[in-house]
Amino acid sequence: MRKANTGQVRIIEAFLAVIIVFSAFAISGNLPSNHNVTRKEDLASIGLNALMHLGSDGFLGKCIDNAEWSSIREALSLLLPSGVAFNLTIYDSAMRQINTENIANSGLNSQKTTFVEYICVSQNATFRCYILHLHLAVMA
Amino acid sequence: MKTLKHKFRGNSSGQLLVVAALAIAMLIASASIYVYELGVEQNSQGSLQTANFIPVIKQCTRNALISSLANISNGGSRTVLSANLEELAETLRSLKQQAIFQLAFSLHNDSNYESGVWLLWSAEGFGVSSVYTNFELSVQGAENLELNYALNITTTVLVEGFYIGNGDEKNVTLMCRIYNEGNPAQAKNISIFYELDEAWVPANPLVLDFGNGTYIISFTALITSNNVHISAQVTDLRGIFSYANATCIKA
Repeated sequence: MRKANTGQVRIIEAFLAVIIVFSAFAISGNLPSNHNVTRKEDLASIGLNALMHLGSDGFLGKCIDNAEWSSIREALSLLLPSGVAFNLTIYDSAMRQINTENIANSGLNSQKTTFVEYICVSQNATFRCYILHLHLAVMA
Repeated sequence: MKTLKHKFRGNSSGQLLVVAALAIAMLIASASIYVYELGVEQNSQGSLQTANFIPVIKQCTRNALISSLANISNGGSRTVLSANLEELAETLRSLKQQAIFQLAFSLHNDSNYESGVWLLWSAEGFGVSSVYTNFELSVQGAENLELNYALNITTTVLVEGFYIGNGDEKNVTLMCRIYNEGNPAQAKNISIFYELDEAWVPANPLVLDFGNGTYIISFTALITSNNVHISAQVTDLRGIFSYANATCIKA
């Protein structure tokens, strides 16, 4: 009887050990993943850098002053990596939308977009300050 | 005794298994938590949008100075500089960023600059259009930052020349150099005038662009005086105007 009990205890102990190890795996696997968040931050950084690049020599401000929306769309398409969808909205300092054309490359999945806010000052002798809202998403 | 030892070893082997399993579980958990924390740290570095936005503000202040100098050098009031920077500071405060950006500025004043502006157009051989402003950027958010920086936007024109020819008809050759913040820069427009009977007469020059901010300009004019007084009026690619006067003597 005692020998038979010992065998059962061994099985229970082994079972317990397996449960402990697997629960450790299970808990580790359920830690929230940062990959998506990091990807969003990377995308925001890429978008901000693209806008900064366009604004560095006054090109962006000049295009907005002259309402050259297609030039901005083409420049952004070139600067952003392929597979990134964007939609840019330009406001004046009173937050009135001024772009009369859609500045976007393709359909944007509204649920998985990254938002970048940018401020652009035109080098024109007439001072103009613009606020840009860039929505970005990775195309499926 | 031996039997007891053997018996004890036999009995405790299962407990040892559980302890070992616990140790393995702890190792797995700690390794996973370490990897997770590392990810969180990297993510918080990546989410420093505030830090990423500071170069944008610097770029905006630079463009605001260029815009102001373009306005002032083309006849605008000097008060345009502070008005434009005030408007920029107001717009920065209204942004929907994770932090609040407060931009303060002080216009530079010294023997050259008055209210941050220096226009020197009457000197012999060179002309300067410049603005100089000190900025204090205060960022209030997850992290509070204070940043002081100064920006100077300067367009300089250097001109010198000579003429050849006898009598009243003179072939004048000028070398004009243009600089933006001390670096060679291109001109959008160059106009040359020469002095005739105490009046400035526009010349019809031939301009040779070397592509490095240096221009060789030549024109022919009927001028009775021995020295030829010229004025080179330049607008750079940023729209900033400046001019320099020079006296050309016979080569």
